[in-house]
Amino acid sequence: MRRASVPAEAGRDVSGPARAGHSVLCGAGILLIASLASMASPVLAQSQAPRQDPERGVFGPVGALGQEVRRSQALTSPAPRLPDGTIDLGDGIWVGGGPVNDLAQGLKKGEELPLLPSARQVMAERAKRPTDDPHLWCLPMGVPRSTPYPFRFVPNYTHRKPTHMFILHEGNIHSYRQVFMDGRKHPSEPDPTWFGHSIGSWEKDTLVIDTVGYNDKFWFDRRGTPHTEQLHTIERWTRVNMGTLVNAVTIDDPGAFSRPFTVTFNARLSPPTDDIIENICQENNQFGVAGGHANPFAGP
Amino acid sequence: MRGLSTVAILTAVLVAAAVVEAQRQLTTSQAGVEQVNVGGTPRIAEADALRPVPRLPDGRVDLTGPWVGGGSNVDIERDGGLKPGELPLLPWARKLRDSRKTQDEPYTTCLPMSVPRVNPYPWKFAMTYTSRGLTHIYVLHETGDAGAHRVVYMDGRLHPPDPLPTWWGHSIGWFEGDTLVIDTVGYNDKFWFDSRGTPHTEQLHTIERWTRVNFGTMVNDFTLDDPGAYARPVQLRFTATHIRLGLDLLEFICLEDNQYGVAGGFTPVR
Repeated sequence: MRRASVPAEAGRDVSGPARAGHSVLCGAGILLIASLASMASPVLAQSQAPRQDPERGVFGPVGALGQEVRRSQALTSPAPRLPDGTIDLGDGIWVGGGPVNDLAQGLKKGEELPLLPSARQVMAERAKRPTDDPHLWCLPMGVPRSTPYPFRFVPNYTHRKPTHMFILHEGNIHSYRQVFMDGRKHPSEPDPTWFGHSIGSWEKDTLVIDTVGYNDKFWFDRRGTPHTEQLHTIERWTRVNMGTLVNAVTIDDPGAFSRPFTVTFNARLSPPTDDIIENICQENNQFGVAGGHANPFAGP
Repeated sequence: MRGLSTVAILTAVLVAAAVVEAQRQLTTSQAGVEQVNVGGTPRIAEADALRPVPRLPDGRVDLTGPWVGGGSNVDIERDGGLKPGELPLLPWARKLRDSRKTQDEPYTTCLPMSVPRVNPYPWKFAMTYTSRGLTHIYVLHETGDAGAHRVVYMDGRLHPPDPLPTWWGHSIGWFEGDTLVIDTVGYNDKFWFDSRGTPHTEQLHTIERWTRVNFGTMVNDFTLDDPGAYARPVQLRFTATHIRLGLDLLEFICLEDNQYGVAGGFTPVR
């Protein structure tokens, strides 16, 4: 039995790093009902998502897509290291580490996003058409967005040592993000892209990824929190122990926010038996074409 | 740094030109198969290509690349070194190949091209060393979501007894001397081996033997075994070339830039 497509995730509450397990427990009936519900009211689902037991899910031991919800125990043993002493981020798969529903969830208590009026206006427009979220149309989610599905760090070792860090997501779009670890700088005038131009370095045990050159197309979250091409992000990934990876992201975008701010998200290590599985969004786009929504990105 | 960005821009322009040319050819010849003009990706200089094979600190050969080529694209029979008619397709499979129409090619609607297909764009083996050693090798194609990422398990696991058919199948790899061997089963039957439409079934089993013969060249000795569509296993050979030094994979979001598919008025394959 196939796992349901990523876009249908729109109906799931994933305020915490909940993990949709790979094994599917329930029958097609629950899956169908849940999928329909999630397609019918993505906004409702995200704004009125019930508080859930973080160890179970809204539906008890199965998630909204009829999948088993498994959360691994947060292991507190020390983070593993590579032979050269570097913290190992690539030995397993992670869930979480970025916003899904709302970027503001990463702020400290009492803080608010310093949105400029123009950005508020964009959000209000997007709220009217939540199905325009590019992510739901199999387009990249950009940075620092996350999904309920796992991702992993892939340090690419070459004869010149680790020259690149790739970040692979199982969820949209099953593609990869490229981080240059070879000491290069940003180009002076990068072409705007979905993942921007990322350079990485280690500050003690923290992987720092500095990115510019984003396009303004992706949404930070399901609420449509916007940004402009002036966006500059600095992610600080710290594996505080075996099972927990903290991502503190500084977001600086004078085009959409009145000042830089920092959001923090935790990722949790999945059980060692879990792996990223194949998910071809374009093939199984239940939310978009099959869900009867007009594709806002299709040509005339 | 200015030099680097100039190179990047130049590459982008070259690749963009190749894409435009490819699109032009496709849209002007939707009835038949036509070769897509290859040549947009700059290759390594001859002198650099002849340098010795680079090695990782543990002595392992460095297969990273980025590479261009090394698989089928237009016609697997010809690309793999066979003469016309030598591919032992079963009659039904030959009939299917000859009846497939260019516009139905899954790859052109941003679905994965799978194994052993390549395109005129670069790709690389990402060799992942973790605290548990070399546990995975990922194949990353510049054609972002159509190419997606392919996973090769290097941790000694075996194939599952009854794998769910997927676009990329279930791949396990190991080294035999300096050759990376990748054994894959569990494919679906949806992708085409080439734009000619050469088919296969879910019984497909592939064995790739990747050998980097010098700095700029890597050979893929490829065994195609599919009793559902072929009379016997076939041995093919493809050669990959290192792209010009200093260049890297660019971002390529097929679905955004799908001039051929949705924007071209073609609906995805059902």
